[in-house]
Amino acid sequence: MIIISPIWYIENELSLSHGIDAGSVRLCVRHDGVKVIDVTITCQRPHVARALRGRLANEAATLIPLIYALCGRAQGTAASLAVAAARGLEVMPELNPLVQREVMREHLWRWLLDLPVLLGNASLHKEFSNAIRALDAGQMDHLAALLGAPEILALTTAIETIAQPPLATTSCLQVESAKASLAVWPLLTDELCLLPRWKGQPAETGAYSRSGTQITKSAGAFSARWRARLTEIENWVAGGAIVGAGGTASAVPVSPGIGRSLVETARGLLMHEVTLDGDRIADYRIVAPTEWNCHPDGLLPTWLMDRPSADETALKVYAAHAVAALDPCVRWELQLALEPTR
Amino acid sequence: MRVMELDAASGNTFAWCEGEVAGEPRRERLNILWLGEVEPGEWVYAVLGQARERLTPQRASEINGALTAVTAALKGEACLDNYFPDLVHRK
Repeated sequence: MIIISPIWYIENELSLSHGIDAGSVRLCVRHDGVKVIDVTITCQRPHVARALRGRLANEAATLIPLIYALCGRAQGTAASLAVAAARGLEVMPELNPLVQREVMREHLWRWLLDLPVLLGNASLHKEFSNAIRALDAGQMDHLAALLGAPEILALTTAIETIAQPPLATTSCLQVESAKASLAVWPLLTDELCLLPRWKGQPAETGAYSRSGTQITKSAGAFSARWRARLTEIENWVAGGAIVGAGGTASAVPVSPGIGRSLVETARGLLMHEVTLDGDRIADYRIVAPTEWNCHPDGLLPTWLMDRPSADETALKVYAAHAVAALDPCVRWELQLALEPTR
Repeated sequence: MRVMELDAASGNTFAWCEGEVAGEPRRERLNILWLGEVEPGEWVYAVLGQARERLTPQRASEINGALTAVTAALKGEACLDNYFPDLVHRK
């Protein structure tokens, strides 16, 4: 059974979990006692192609959610669509209700269970349970009322008060469909899977990116990402979700025997590409949101470089807030190294 | 993992669960809010400290086999058929 525990503050190198490891994001932050002088980010993932090559194509939709267990519905959908596309099916972008619900559950988890803890308060367990019950029952009025509760409003205020960079213009990934992606990436490559780039540079993906960055209520970089998730829930509850929002899925045949799918998950754009040899998988590539959002040249180093470091505890909290804003789908580790100026 | 007991001190938002990882027994306290309520004896899929999916014992066994196969593949083992022959067909 896969078991991965979240690790918040780790200052020493540590071994990975037992059994299969879904990966991790490692932040190695060097500072001189005054400020951060270097940030190295490593995003490690298992090479799923090795496990899938030679398997029956239909097994992909079962196996992949096991490896990428968070957003399992989105992963399974992406796998099914990619295989279907490899067999010639094109799917124009459309909202997948099951993936949408998964996206909303993920957003609710982040807002009601993770965010309060991040801000030093207790998780809103009861509110989360009530929200999930309302979501499952399709009680949108009830869910809307829960989202307007004082506890949520208090969180929206509190998230603005934490130490964070000012909201700045960033590169937000905008790819409308699997078909449109062919003009950007004729084939998904190993390099793209590990270090994805769009228009030659790293780009952010997720609710903030999907919002068109129109989160005008936030002045902070972290709070804007959090508010974007909440806005996406509110839009969905109000029946205002449109194609392009979380839960959007599409697929396209790349060439005979090769299919690609795109799915907008809670954490951002997920791309699958499968190459079939008859009924069996010859190759498989996945470009997941975390590789975009935790890119070594992306937002995290920008946010952390030059950050005051005299108070290491404050720096750790700041780093935790930065990572939480981007929400990697794997555990993350922080290694702080003090290198005093000689 | 199998749910062993609810953590009453947490208001039953966590449960102590047991499973096996790479042949070693493992006990972990999982957040169960994603599933709502669980009962001791039930099997759940665990990730990032959360119980994410309710499983039948059969399904749990199949998943364990599949994960072992994936681990073997990632270590370079070529033939995986013995690990999960029924994973798809019994779903």
